[in-house]
Amino acid sequence: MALLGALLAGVAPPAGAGEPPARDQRGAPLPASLPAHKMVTFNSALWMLLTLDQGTDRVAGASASTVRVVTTGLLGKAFPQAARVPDTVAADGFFLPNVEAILALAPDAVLQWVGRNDPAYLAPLERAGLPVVGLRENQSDADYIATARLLGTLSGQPGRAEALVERYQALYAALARDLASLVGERRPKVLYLWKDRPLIPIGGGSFYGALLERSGGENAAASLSRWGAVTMEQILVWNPDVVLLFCCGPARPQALYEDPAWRAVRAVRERRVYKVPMGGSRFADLIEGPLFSRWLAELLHPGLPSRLRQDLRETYRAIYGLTLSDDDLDRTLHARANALSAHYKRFLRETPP
Amino acid sequence: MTDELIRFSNVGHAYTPARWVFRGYSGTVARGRVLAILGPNGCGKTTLLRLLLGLGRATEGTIERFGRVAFVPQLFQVGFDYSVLDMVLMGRAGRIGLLAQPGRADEAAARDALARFGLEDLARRPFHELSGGQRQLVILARALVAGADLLILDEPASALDLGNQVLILDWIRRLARQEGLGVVFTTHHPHHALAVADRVLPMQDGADNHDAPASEILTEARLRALYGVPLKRVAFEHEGQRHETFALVIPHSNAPDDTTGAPSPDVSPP
Amino acid sequence: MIRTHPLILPLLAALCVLMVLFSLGVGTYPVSLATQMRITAALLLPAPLAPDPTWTEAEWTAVVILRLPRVLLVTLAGAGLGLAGASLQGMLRNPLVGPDIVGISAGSAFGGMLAILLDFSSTGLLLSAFAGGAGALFLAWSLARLGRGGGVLPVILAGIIVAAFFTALNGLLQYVADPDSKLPAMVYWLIGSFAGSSLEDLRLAAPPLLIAGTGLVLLRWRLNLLSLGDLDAAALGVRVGGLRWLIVALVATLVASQVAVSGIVGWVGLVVPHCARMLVGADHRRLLPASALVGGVFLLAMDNLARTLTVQELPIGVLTAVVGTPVFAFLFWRSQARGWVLD
Repeated sequence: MALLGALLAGVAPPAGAGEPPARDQRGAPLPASLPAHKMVTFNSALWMLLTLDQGTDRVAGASASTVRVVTTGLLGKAFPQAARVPDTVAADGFFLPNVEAILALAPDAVLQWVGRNDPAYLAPLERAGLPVVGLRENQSDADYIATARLLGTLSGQPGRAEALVERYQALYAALARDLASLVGERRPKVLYLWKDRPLIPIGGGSFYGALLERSGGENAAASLSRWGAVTMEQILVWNPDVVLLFCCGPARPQALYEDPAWRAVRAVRERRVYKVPMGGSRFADLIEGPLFSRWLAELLHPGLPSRLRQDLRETYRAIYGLTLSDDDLDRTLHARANALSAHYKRFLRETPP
Repeated sequence: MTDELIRFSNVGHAYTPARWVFRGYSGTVARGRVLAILGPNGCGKTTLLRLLLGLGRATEGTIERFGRVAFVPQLFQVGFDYSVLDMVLMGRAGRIGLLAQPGRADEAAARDALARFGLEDLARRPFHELSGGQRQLVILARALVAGADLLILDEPASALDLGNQVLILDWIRRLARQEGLGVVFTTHHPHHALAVADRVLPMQDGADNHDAPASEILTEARLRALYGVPLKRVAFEHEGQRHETFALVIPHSNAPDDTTGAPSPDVSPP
Repeated sequence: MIRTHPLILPLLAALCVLMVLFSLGVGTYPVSLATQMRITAALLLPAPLAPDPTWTEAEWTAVVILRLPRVLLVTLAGAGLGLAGASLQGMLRNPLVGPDIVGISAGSAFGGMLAILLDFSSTGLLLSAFAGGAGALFLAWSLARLGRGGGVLPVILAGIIVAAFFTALNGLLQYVADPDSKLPAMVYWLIGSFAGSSLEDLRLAAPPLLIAGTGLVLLRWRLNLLSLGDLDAAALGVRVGGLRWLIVALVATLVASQVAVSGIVGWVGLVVPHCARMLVGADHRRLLPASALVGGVFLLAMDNLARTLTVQELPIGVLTAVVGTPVFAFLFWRSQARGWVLD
């Protein structure tokens, strides 16, 4: 079966590239004075802001959970000052705004999710008269690109945003070409476990599920229509070829290899359980999304040329001016945890330390 | 005196050093004898019973017990639907190890005890469905099955209707006279004491705190001092037998006089 | 008349065994009845008599590795909760209490969550859950004794207060927990599920469940005595204080062991003793074994629903609450209608 065809379908055409967005993602007008100088963010826009602006100068505050993602990953290495970003803007550490703390920061843009519990997350900000910019959760390429352009406008870096978008599209186009060359190869069934206790997989209809398809696989849990735990027996029924474990949880492939309950699962028998790399933004989003797909595609189709390690190094050098050491790369790729898994040698340095 | 079952002398109880509930009570009960502890509500009767049972330490005085003691609480309620037999069986607690269950011998003893009160047919009935008097009898049977020599009863007849009062008092007397048990019971009805008690301990501050023969205590004068209201000792005959009891004297409240009575409400005062 | 058929307990025991066998055949992974029976036979029979292994590895995994530990754990946990509930109701002389209502479950969950936060070993987690459960019961009980005149309400109110306190502490722990590595395990705990049951869980929880359960079954007649009230029980020669502490320790052990492996599973300890009482009467000599058996059967039924009703696993705590709360309401109505007076 050829992998050509629909692989590029998800990539949005670069239409409207020259036109700066005037409204946020719920249709409300953007704050009057742009670019913004003091932004508060509750969501993953934080790492795009850092990337676009190459610093934390425009970030007045962020929720503790997003700051933690930055400081614990490669972005923390690029922007050590991120650890000093005030992280008390969310009352619950995630998305619930602490309005008084935000008012004290006097921000000129507050970036908040829309469509996700608006009355609790968004309404208090509006009532306080804060300049809210609504962002939808990214569900497709088009969303990623639109968000990047919006953030480019907000931070006064539209050109840089456009460059990142082009880079994103180019990397996916290269991947699609590589995958198209694999004629007659089966798409392995991939189970992406977001959590291992209880077993919560990425179901069908989700962006991450689509990402599995795009990386040359097939979502084993595509029949699952909503978020929730499944039984181990259900996994026996699916019998996936490959199992992915969430980058940042406690689960490790070793535990699955040793667990008798997993013994009958093909992914374990063939030692194809992998912990997803951590990267700077959890191997997702505009910068690292293509890296995740490359990583997965090479694991699913070992015949592909091995270029992930060099792509990763190159990405961080080009975008952040950061030279990643072999140790950095090993850490981000979970080299130790994944060392026992099949085909993982291709990602490891030639001579291990 | 070898027949003695319990002897207490100079017993006092205080919750805090300065607050005595009572002090200086003494008494004794022998086999086949009945001691009534008499007094108004709130004088510490139940506390004294607890001390006599050994469930607590007297602040002062000594209590000596010379036999097995069993307790019959006030009209007994239990939240669970135990059968009558289950209730009686519980009297065997002192003879059965912590982790052991009652055996056939225990059950036979319980049925025997029920039979002595003529209650054998009620063995499988739910305890809480019985009348108050029957319940008291079941608890008496439980005391017997414990092999008690001395029964301590807390207000055994107070909460019962008249028929059951008679039933229980009759049984108390029989258990003492025929079975040779010693009995201590509290009551605030002097006529109950008069009916069954050999000795009486009045609980009254400042009085002589030693028990005494019933005839000495159960006099109109002593009871008036104890209760603060007049009581009349009444003798009468019933079916050829002589009985005595105490009658309440309820004062006639200003009965309206034909000529000089208080003005009726509809006549306005001059 | 109180008449209970002498065969009820043996019948309940047989039902429990049948339910275990039936539950081994229930699950998402299709295993034919014949295969399941052959696998069960291979487990039970000595080697020479065992059938030839004609099953696939996945079938063996489903029945022996996934279902067997889970089914046994659910049975023991259900029995433990039934025993804990019946013992608490007897000891507190209150038919409206259960391990969750007097706060033991929340206390145990607090102990367990603290253990997760501090990276205790699984044994440490069990001990921590025990300490939390016993502490909560002690608090609730001390608080209830402040209520003048006794009765059923002070115990329930004290339980609500203590449970609310520990629930608040649990919320606090969730707030400080690392959302990636610790929080999921904690949340999983609070909801209550046997989804992850493994042989290790069984090894951890079975010994304390069996020991404490046996202890309570041996003390079953003493519960009759304790349910009479302190004064009367003491007058009958029962050492009330010591006995009560012993029962508190055993009940807390049961609940903590169950919570340690499956989180908070509410209402079982309240509802099961009542069903058992309808079958065998109030005498704890029969009630405790019956509560254990009914608890096992009930929780197995709930867990079978939890793992088969939908593709995704339903939290069993949700199912037991859906069944348990109407029963609790019914019991409350009946107790009020009957004018339940205690003390």
